[in-house]
Amino acid sequence: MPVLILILFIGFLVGRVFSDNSIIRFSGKLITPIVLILLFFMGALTGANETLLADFATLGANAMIIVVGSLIGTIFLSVIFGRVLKRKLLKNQSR
Amino acid sequence: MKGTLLILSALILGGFTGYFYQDISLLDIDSINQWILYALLFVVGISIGSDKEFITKVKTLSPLYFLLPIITITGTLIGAFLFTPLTTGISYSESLAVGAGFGYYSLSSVIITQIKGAELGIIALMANIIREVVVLIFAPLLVKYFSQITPICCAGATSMDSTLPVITKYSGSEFVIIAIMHGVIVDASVPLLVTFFCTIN
Repeated sequence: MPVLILILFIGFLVGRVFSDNSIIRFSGKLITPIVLILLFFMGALTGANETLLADFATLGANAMIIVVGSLIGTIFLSVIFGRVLKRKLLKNQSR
Repeated sequence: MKGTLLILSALILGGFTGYFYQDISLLDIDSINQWILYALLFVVGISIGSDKEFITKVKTLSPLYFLLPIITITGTLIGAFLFTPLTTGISYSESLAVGAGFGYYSLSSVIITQIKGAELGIIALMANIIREVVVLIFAPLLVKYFSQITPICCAGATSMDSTLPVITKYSGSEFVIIAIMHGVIVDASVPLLVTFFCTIN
């Protein structure tokens, strides 16, 4: 669905070109209400879907596995980067 | 906090509506939602593009800190990829799409629901809420046992808003600007990466 990325990019360009326009600046405030509408429908479809409700435990387990993996990867790289950063910054200070 | 409550109430309200009025699934919600999603991404694009300080702030930072969002994104995606075999019935690209929410659960889950269906959307919602909550609860331990930048990276897109207070408290106030910058950049990557991983197979 490259349409979505294209729309995002067009929005970005419109935002950059018309950044002083008050209507354009106001449009950022629309994000939360639009997300709330989508979440409402998302909840409604889930609530109406019996198989989805029955699978809730499996879905939760999958979510947990993905988030644990994501966090372990992130922690691992952040520790390495933290050490590199400290060394570089100390070197800059002693110069 | 107020935002989280609003989001949860919209979802729960929708859940009850769907549960008690099952006919709602007969409505063509998907095609309605698709147009709402287009509008959403357009507005998200505008808000990133019209933030003049976005570019200037990024330019003034030490190039080293600029790498922090890349660390977060790379670490998350590698981790999500490697853990995919442990899940049941989730493909690699789906797992990466969920991971690429980086804690921005509202936006990532609605995009995923639209493209991949409600099942993966719910997984994305849960996974990304858990990510935020983990940072809120374990930030002091992450600093103690790993690194001062670890809570920022774990917070993902939320490092500029909901988890900023705990980051400031435990990593130190000198990390505020870095956390905000990190959040802004990771946040901007969410719609792009989630859409990308949803569309590859």
